Amino acid sequence: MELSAEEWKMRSAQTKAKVEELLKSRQGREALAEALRDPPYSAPAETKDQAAKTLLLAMSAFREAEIKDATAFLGEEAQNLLMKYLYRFWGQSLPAKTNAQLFVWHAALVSQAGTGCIVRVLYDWNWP
Amino acid sequence: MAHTLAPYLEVIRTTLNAALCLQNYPSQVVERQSRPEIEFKDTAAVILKPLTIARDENERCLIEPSVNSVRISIKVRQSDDTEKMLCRKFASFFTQRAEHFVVLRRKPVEGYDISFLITNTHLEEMVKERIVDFIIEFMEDVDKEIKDLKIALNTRLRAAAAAYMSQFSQRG
Repeated sequence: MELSAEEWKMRSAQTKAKVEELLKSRQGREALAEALRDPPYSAPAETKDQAAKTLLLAMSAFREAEIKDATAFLGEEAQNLLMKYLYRFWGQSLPAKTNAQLFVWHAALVSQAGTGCIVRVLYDWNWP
Repeated sequence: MAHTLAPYLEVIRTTLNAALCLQNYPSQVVERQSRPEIEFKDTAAVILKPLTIARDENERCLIEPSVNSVRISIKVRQSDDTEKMLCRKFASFFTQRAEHFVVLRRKPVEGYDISFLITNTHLEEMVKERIVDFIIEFMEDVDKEIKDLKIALNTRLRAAAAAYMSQFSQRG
């Protein structure tokens, strides 16, 4: 989507507000879907970081047992985007506990979407 | 933290299975040659995004795929100077014999302890799943070996120190 830097910033702030609201009302899956809508591919770096933080917030609301169902709930585009974010998070030197949670997410995504999900991520030039 | 090693290795295994889909790609720069693109980086379009899988800052794995080659770099957890030294010696033991390992790279990538380079010619001779198994086993064994070496080193050190100091013990 072709938007200016300012518009991306506003949109990212809106998404953050919506996600926080949904998390407060315990709608984890909707919050996750909202955080994975409209990926900021052409936004500047801080907006991308902001969007990544929002997604991490939405993801940390899930317990281990719920993660598998949550990934089944997402569509294909959202699953690919989530996979890209997983690899981005691992490159960011997060604490070990968060990384361990992300392993669970990865395993759940692969069991839902298969190895093809990773291949689609590898061969896509747009990364969040 | 051995119980969390299994999910980490599982993620690496699935990612490698996806990344090791290689085909021959003749070099666009040099005639009649095909070179591992991830090393030579002749054509930017065939080099894919590098993927990091990290357990924490000190234990990570970098997978750099391209159309005809994949480079896998591993950073092993080293908690103190003894383990750092052991890891260095262990890695240099393998890298000096790299031609026997075929897929090992002689120098690790900057910031990592050991690197592998797998090309499409390797995949023509060897089974992909077995190569992935080899790399995962290698990662498990490196951790175990360094811990065992450290324990053996400390045991020998204590025995040698005790034997030496016994000559100064009170005698009569």
